[in-house]
Amino acid sequence: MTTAGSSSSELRDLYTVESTRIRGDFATTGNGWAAISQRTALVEKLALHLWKEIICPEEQGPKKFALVASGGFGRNWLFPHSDIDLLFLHADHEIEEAFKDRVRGFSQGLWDLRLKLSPATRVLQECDRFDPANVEFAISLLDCRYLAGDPDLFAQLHDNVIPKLMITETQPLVQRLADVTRTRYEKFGNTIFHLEPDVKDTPGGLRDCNVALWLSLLSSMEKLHNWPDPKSLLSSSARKQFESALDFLVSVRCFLHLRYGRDDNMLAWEAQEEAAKRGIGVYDGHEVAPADWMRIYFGHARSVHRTATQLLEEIPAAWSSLSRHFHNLRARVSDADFSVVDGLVFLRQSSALQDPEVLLRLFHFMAHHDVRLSTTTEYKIEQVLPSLAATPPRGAELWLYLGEILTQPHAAHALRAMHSLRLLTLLLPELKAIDALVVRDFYHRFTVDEHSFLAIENLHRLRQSHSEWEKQYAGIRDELERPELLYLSLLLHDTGKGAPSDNHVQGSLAVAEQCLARLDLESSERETVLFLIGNHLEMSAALRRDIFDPATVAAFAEKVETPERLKMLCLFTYADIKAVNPDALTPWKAENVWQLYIATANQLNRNVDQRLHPGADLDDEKVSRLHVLAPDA
Amino acid sequence: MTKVEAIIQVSKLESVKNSLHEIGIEGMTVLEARGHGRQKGHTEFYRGREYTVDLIPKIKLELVVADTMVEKVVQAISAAARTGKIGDGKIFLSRIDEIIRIRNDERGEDAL
Repeated sequence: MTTAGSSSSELRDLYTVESTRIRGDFATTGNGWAAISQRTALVEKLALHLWKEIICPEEQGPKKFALVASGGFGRNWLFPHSDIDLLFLHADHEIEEAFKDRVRGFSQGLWDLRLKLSPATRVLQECDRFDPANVEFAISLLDCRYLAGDPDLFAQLHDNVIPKLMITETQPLVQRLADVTRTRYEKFGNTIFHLEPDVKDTPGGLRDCNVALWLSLLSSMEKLHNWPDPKSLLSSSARKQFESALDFLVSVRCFLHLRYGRDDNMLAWEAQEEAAKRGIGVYDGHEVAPADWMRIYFGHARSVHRTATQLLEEIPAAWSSLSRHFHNLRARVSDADFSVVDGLVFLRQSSALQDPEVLLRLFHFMAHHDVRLSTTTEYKIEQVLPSLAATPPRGAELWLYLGEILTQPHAAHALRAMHSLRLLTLLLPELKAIDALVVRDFYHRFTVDEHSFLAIENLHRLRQSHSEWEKQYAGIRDELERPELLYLSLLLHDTGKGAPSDNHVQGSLAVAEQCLARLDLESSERETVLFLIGNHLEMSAALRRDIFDPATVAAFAEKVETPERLKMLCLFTYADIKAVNPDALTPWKAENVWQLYIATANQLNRNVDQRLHPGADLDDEKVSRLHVLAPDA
Repeated sequence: MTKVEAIIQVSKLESVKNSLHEIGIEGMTVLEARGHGRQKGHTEFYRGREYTVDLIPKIKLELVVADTMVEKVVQAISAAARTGKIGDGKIFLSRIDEIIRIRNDERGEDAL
């Protein structure tokens, strides 16, 4: 007869041997699905062994008590160091009390195997209530799977209680899921383009995959009043890209867990290098350059994020009546070409996009009204892109629309949508080199393209400024004569990072010259944009000197030459630093930039005589004549 | 062991860092600071409004060194940061009872 001690030891040995085998298989094949499937089977085997040993030796026993896998375990997605989600389901509280000690022993047995247990204990009746403070439990039930114990009790849960809960509580459930997701997005700056993303929680990661599947499931359950066929979730057009993305992300997360030896999902730079070298998630597992591998990652993250956000926006139950009212107010902004429903833009005539002007007006509309494209509209845009690529808009006409888009309050939102649909790089091929580009930099948090969009967004957000300094910056922004030139400069200022060069400023200037020529800007406009790009680091450099030293101020004033350029460069510096990472523009830096701006503005606005006649000797007669002409100078 | 805190001008940070590197000091903490001593501030005008700039931007350096290195460090900072004008800054020295390296629990001067 086996003693408890030797049984535990055997289980530990089994876990160690099998885990090593799974690790070895993954090292050879890089197949993430196989790894998580094998680990799920292994943990299930260990759990069933302990169940028989501690809870009940009978097949499908005891009555009125069931062991249920939920969450990732229920989905058969146990990553090498994921928690094990288990639900101890009881028919009533008496049964729960009766098995309390054995459940403790069972849990201890799993802990002794170094498995991180995430247990929940419920009575069946408790599962039909939705607790808004614990949306995670309700959602975990969507992935529940029978493991052991009373199958009839589990059937009641799966076939009756859960469908009833999901149908009666769809709206608050989806609303809470949307709230939790949006909070998560805010934590990650509402962007997928992090230099070192978390493959689970960053937008576009595995959590978004789960959210998309849950939202689809809830929507189907609401319609069917029962569990749908899993293959019917997601539209066929979304499914292929989504599944390809899921394959990639699953392999990457397995790789990270095995690399770190813990539940760590951060794609740090060293991990990116190793993943690229091993071709993790890449067809045939061949080696790619780290920057190219990260582009593959961002391509997949884009499609996952797009699917998740479309579902968040489109499921009617996702909106509370208040939100729906607000979004229907936005419907009043509909015009002859576009209609807005629930914050989503639809085309009144589907053939309208054959005209490139309508396409550009669509994004102007987005940038002005802060609305999103509906899935249908996005699909139609994708359909016209090939013909647009044959004869893309260019020249002054393109600049007319682009300039208008750039000055709208939600320009960055529209630019990101254009970029995601590959329209922006079609119109401005110069941006291709920085598309999802990871540049290793201690300070920058985001890819180069996202950094540029964020810089533009930072200037538009000055409108909602609260701090004293930001109000000052907002003031000079509103005085700009040609703000579109500043925004265009921000869009192009780091394009040089996409070329192999030690000096990205020179690279960006070369790229910008090409772009400006193609947009047919006038020479004075080109000069301004090239000045801003060529000198975009000058104000930061001046901050490292004594900004109260007249010589520093005079040198800087000499460089900017005019008050208008000074304003633009000051705003450029503010927006650029703030787009590096959320903490880059400290109040200390913001104040110093502002102080340098004031001192330089004063320098440019006084001492006209000295500037017109540098080094000239002004004799008394000339001085007195000048005083007659301009007594207040 | 001694903690060295130095308030220096912003424009002197690079030369002070280089001077410290030259004598073998690699670790330091750099903080953005504002303040004034006798330097006080000044008044600036912008668009008809008066601004008083009474807290000047400075850099504060903090480092902990072995007692045998203190004088060398003080000389290195002073030489690199000095302009001879008001506003050059100050150096403060204080005793440190213990240092612990979080990574491997090394203590004392071994943790420097």
